[in-house]
Amino acid sequence: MSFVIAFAFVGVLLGGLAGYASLRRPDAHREAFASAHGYFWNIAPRLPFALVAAECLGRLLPPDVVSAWLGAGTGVSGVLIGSGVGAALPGGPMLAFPLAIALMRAGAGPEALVALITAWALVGINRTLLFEVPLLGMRFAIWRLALCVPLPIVAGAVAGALVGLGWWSG
Amino acid sequence: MARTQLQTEDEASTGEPKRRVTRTTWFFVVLAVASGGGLAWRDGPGAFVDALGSAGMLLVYIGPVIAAALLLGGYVHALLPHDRVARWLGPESGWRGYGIAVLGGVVTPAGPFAVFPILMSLRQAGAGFPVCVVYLTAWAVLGAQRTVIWELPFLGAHFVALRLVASLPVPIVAGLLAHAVARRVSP
Repeated sequence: MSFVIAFAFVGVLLGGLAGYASLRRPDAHREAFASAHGYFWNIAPRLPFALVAAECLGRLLPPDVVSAWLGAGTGVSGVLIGSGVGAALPGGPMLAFPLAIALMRAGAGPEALVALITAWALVGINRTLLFEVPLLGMRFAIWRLALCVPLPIVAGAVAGALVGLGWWSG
Repeated sequence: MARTQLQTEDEASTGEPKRRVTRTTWFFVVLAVASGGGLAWRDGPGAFVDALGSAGMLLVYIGPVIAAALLLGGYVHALLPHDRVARWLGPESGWRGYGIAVLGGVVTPAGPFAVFPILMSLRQAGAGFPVCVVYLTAWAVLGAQRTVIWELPFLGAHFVALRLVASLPVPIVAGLLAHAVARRVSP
């Protein structure tokens, strides 16, 4: 069902932007297709393997270990472990999100998963080395990373509070 | 013109040659073979075939979403007024600048190809460390494209809503922390 929602959402935005481009900037069509084509061939060869890997890794994870470390009842320690795992997770969303769903199925709690995804999104060490350091400088990258350390814990704590208020039913 | 040049630079700085099968692809191939082999060895070949089926279903579902969202990212990249964005977030933008930084982070396409060159031009236009951190943080935790392509199909709308609400304070806390250390970062 969420696929349908996602597709509809993207479709509506795409229609809006393409319509705007037709009216105001017709040359944007060619640019948009060119850059989408580039990204597509970047992702297409990897995606099937990434999905198979994440599916198999998820089945290999022992559910008792996952729920003991990241389960719904683990509270602060689950958020801290989730933040650590997320910060250490290499690669792009192709691996992170399928792995997150595998962890969810294996019993990880929502607050630990929020911390994990936040930490992964903020740290992304290969992204920092390939883009942030060369384009913005070492000083910027180090300070930015340093002040991002507490943020996954903030997000995890807010998620935990929301879950405590009854925002999560499964 | 400037935009095409920017993209060529991006491709160069990823360190990946313009080949179909790159090192990152091989990483996923090896990971898939290793984890698939491990699963077949532990739970039998049937378990592996079952996992393959689930992965195939997922591919059929998210394939169209990804293709459409990549095109959406292309349009955002092509239509975003890069020079005007730099002015909006410049040194005199004040509080409004932080609000625009959060919104900008939400709409900037996923993937580092767009966000880091934009940040570089922001820095060159005189944007301070805190506003850049707010923009980068908002892009990382609230970015709409990544959420729609990857998170919504995999984890569902309920989890996405929880994570987004929990992430709303993140760019604000990041901005406050960045403000406290800004003098040590910028000369």
